[in-house]
Amino acid sequence: MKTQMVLREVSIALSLIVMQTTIIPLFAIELYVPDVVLLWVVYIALRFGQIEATIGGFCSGFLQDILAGQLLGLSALVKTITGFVAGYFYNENTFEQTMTTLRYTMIVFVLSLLHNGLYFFIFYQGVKDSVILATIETGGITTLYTTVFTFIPFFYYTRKHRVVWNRS
Amino acid sequence: MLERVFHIFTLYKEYVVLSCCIILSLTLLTTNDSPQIKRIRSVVSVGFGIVQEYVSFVPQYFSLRSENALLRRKNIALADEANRLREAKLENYRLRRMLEFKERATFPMKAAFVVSKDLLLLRNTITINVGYNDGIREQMPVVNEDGLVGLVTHVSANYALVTILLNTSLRVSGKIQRSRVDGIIQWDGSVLLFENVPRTRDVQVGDVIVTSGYSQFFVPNIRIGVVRELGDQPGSLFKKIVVTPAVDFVKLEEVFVILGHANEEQLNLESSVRGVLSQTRSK
Repeated sequence: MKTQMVLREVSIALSLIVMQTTIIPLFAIELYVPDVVLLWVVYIALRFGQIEATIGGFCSGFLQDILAGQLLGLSALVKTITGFVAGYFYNENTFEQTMTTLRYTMIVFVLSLLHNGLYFFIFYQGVKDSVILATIETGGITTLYTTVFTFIPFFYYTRKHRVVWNRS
Repeated sequence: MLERVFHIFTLYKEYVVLSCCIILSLTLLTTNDSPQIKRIRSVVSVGFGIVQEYVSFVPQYFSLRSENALLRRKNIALADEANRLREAKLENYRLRRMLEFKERATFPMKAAFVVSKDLLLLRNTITINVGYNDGIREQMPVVNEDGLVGLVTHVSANYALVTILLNTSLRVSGKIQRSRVDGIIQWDGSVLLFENVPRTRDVQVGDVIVTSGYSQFFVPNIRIGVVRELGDQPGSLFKKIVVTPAVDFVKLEEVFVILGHANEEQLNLESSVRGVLSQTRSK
């Protein structure tokens, strides 16, 4: 049962990584591309915990690095840290609630900020004159754009668990 | 001791995993160009390349329309360019031949482009883009590198009308280049004929006909055409000789006007003699 679950998550991760390099760039606004793999890392952290998210973050980041052909190890490093920090939001009892409310969006926003801040801060070293400004600009926009994509798991989980919004 | 280490490990396993992953990541970052990393990179890239190949239809599908439009535009542009290049090549070829011809020629000439032409009438003409302002006058012969085209008959400031060989009103004195037999070239409305050649004269199919030099307007030895058919006309003393013009009038685009050939002295003498003869006859 556990193996099945692991295989399922791994196949989802691989699909997302392939999507990240093929379909997702189509949604790019200028140079800003949302990071759906990050959504998966946060999801793993919320569902399974800190260690799984750390390892998942490292592996998915490593694969992304290989496919993107940029700084090998950078995504792995950043996603490892993000997965680790995301693990602090883990609570076995509130997973469904987190995924079906804006809490997931908020968590993704915070972690994406951390992820992109770290990533672009290292990535722009020696490339841009003003590394901090470039990091804020690129990291900020990418964070917002990635956060927008949380609606996909959000809608998936609200439909799955038939959450009825109580306007009152 | 080992138990203690294991205990610490289980107690801080999150941090141990984090440290291991960070160390691995940093190692990868520092050994970016090592051959082992390159090898891993290439192996994984190949594996994912296969997967991507199947998934890549999705972005292709979205970009297909714009790509199609782009290719169509490029296709039109390239076809246009190819056409212009072909045209330029042909023009280059024609101009080279004209240049060679001009260098060979011993008389002054003015180059001109044909701007319009009639080839389906009994009296066919072409219009060229040089006129009085360019030194063109009536009765000047027009040639190209293949041979005789015709004679300038009307001139305006910037254009001139040329009566070509395929015109029933133009008669040109010619001769067989090989046997020096004289005759008159004339268009009968359907074919070009070499007339006034007695049946006894030596003419063969394939003989080249050139201007004779007896004309007041045409310089001698300009190629007119080639004898295509020979025949006898019943009840006539003359041969029927059909000539293929040297110039392809259908493809005619550039010509030369031979400047100042008409021999004024010859013209004056001949006209005065004709005047005296007519006066004598009237007496």
